[in-house]
Amino acid sequence: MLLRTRIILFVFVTLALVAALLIGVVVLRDEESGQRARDLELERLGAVWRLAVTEAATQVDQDLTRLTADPEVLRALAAGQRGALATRLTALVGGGEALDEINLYGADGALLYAADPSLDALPLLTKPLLDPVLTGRGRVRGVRLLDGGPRGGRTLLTAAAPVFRVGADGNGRVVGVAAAAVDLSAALEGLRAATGGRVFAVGRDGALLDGGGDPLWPVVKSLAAPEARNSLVAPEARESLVTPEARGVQTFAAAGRQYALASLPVADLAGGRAATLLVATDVTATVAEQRLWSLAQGAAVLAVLLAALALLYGYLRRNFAVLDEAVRALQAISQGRSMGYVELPTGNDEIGRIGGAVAVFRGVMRDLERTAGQRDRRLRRQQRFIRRQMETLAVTLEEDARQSLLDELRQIETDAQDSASPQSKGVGDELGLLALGFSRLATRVSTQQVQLTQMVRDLRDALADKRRLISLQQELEIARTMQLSILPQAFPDSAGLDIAARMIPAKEVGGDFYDVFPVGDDRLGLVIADVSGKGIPAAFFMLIARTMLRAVAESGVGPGETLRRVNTLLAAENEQMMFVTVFYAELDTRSGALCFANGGHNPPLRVTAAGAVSVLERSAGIALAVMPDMPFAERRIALAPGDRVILFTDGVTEAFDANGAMYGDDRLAAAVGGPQDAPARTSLDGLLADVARFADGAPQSDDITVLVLRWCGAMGAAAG
Amino acid sequence: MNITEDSVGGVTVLRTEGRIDSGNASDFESHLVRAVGEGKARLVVDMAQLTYISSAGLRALLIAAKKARPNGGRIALSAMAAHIREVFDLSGFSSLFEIHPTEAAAVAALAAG
Repeated sequence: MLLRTRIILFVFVTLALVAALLIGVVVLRDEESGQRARDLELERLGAVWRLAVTEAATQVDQDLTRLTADPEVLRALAAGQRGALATRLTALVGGGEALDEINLYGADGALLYAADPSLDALPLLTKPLLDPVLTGRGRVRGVRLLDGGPRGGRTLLTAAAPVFRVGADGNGRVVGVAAAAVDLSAALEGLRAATGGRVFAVGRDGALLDGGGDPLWPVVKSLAAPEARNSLVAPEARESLVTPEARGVQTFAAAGRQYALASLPVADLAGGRAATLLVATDVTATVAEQRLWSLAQGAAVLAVLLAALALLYGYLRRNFAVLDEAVRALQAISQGRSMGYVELPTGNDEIGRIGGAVAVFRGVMRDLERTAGQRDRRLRRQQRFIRRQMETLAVTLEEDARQSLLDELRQIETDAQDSASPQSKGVGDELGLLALGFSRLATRVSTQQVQLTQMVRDLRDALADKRRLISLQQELEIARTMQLSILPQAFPDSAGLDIAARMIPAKEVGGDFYDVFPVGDDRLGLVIADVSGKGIPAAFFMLIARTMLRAVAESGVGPGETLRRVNTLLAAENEQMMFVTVFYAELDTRSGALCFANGGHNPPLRVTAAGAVSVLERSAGIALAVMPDMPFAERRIALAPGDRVILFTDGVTEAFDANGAMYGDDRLAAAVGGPQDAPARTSLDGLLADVARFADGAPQSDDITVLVLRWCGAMGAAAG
Repeated sequence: MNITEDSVGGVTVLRTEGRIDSGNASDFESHLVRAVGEGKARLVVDMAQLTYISSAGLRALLIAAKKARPNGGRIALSAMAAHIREVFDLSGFSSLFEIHPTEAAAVAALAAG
């Protein structure tokens, strides 16, 4: 609950209490003044009553005086002659007197005459009342209740006066007392006339004496006899008897009007209460006026209360507005917003002082923020500078590392701005951020350094390897040159012969070889061979095989025997299971007879001058070096002039194109077939060109070797 | 070249596929040597799916045969295509190896022996 509300509530409660207290006091005083007003009213009624009694008594006195002024009456009274008195008075009273009772007492106080015709008529005056009057100094005026007697209880207005008779000496002396009474109604009429109210009289015994005809009586009766209902009085009697309050005023409403009922006891002259008067006064106007006044009073109190509250509320609101402003300013400061400047009024009261303090505090905060902002800007400048430096550094890194480093930097910066990220929590401040960035950069740089060092080492090794490789390649090149140089390039120049040969190794050095050498005077040895495998091992084996073959063949034992011997020699120590297929032929340069043996090699082709292609007959024989002591069959054919013999290795027929298709025997036959009269060289080049065309750039899988022999015969010189 | 190894009735069967040339002959050789092993091996090299074999491949077969012979092992070849058969015939290797028309025949022959 707001302080303002609490204060208002507190004040409201206090004011309400005070108002209630005031209203209570006013009510009490009203009560008291009402009581006093009632007493006054009773006093007034009493006075009016006494006046009415006096008036009525005066009337009685006048009547009495007229009676006692009669000389006969005086004389009879003085003489104590009862009979004369009665006779004279009866005559006088019969003359229209309005008196209800007349008593005449003698000077000794004895009742000499009573108007009441009954024998034991009750005297109006008792002795104590009579004595003062007999002295001549007193008079009696008042109400007298006569109990009992033949006429029952009677309440009478009584007046008594001494009766004087002027004696002989001229002085009056008291000769008796005259007393008379009229019914109470006479005084009541006077009271009615004086007060203007409704007057009721109730006797001591509760019986209604007067006013029974008034329409208000039933209401008044019910009011006047509340206690009677609880008494032991019989129900029928209770209806008629009332026991009014001794003396007091009460109000009641009847027939839409407000009445004040005053009860006034009437004292008996002889003591005690003779009757009770009930006077009902119409107070409708007064009550209405009082109610109006009470309402006005209540309204005034309420209005004052509300006005006070409204004033308080306004006042508090005005003052608390300043306080609220100060509180808002403080909250803004606590949330870090000190720039939203609102002028706070300052003053000498507490709120003004708070406002002043807040203004000072805000000024301090603003200064702090400005300082912090400057520090922040400085830090950002430093950050930018460092970032630029780091970027410059990052440029020296290789592309991938540079990119990921820049990404990391961006990530760090983003995380730092997002205060909720764990990164930011871990880093704490900008310098920590920079430290993190630097450590990442350092890691990258050192990683790259290690990588670079490794790379340099690798490069150095690669360089060494390359150097070794170059050296090996150089050695291989030498080997290649050597291998090619031992393959004959120039062939015996004979009129009947035309030879061309070529070996194209798949690697630097090959396992194929051909050879042409003279055997004796008239024969020419022709060799084509294919060592299993390729490269250096094949090249070595080829050298051995070639050397052995040439050595054995030159001994002139013939092709079959030559192959048999070479095979056995090669097979003797052949842990590597190398082998070589060899076709070896000896051409009789005089006759053109060709004798050959085949060690597992592709049979050569024979192409006639007309262009017919045939395969030389296969002869039994296994690849050399596989198994010792194997037989090799010899065959012999006669070459016709113009015949060509094509010796080749499987590098030709098994040359592959890019799709994996093999060159094959048919393409070979087509390439070398057909009539032609060209030199062997041309045939050779044509065949190799055809194979190269077929392979169409596909890598060469095996050495390719071809030897073309063209036999010109005896007519060769002329033809060639 | 692709080689799958199988065992049929106690006989090891190497099924060769594609080309065997000097580029992969050493793989072929190591397969063979492993199959021959140390004991009395019975090995069928099935060539039904073989399209080409160079002299290096022949040499690998020779090495395996030489390795098997001292232990009493046997190597048989089966289902070679005509042009491959010609290579064997030309080089005289037909006389060095048992050659059967089908793998089943080769396996049966080795299992019987």
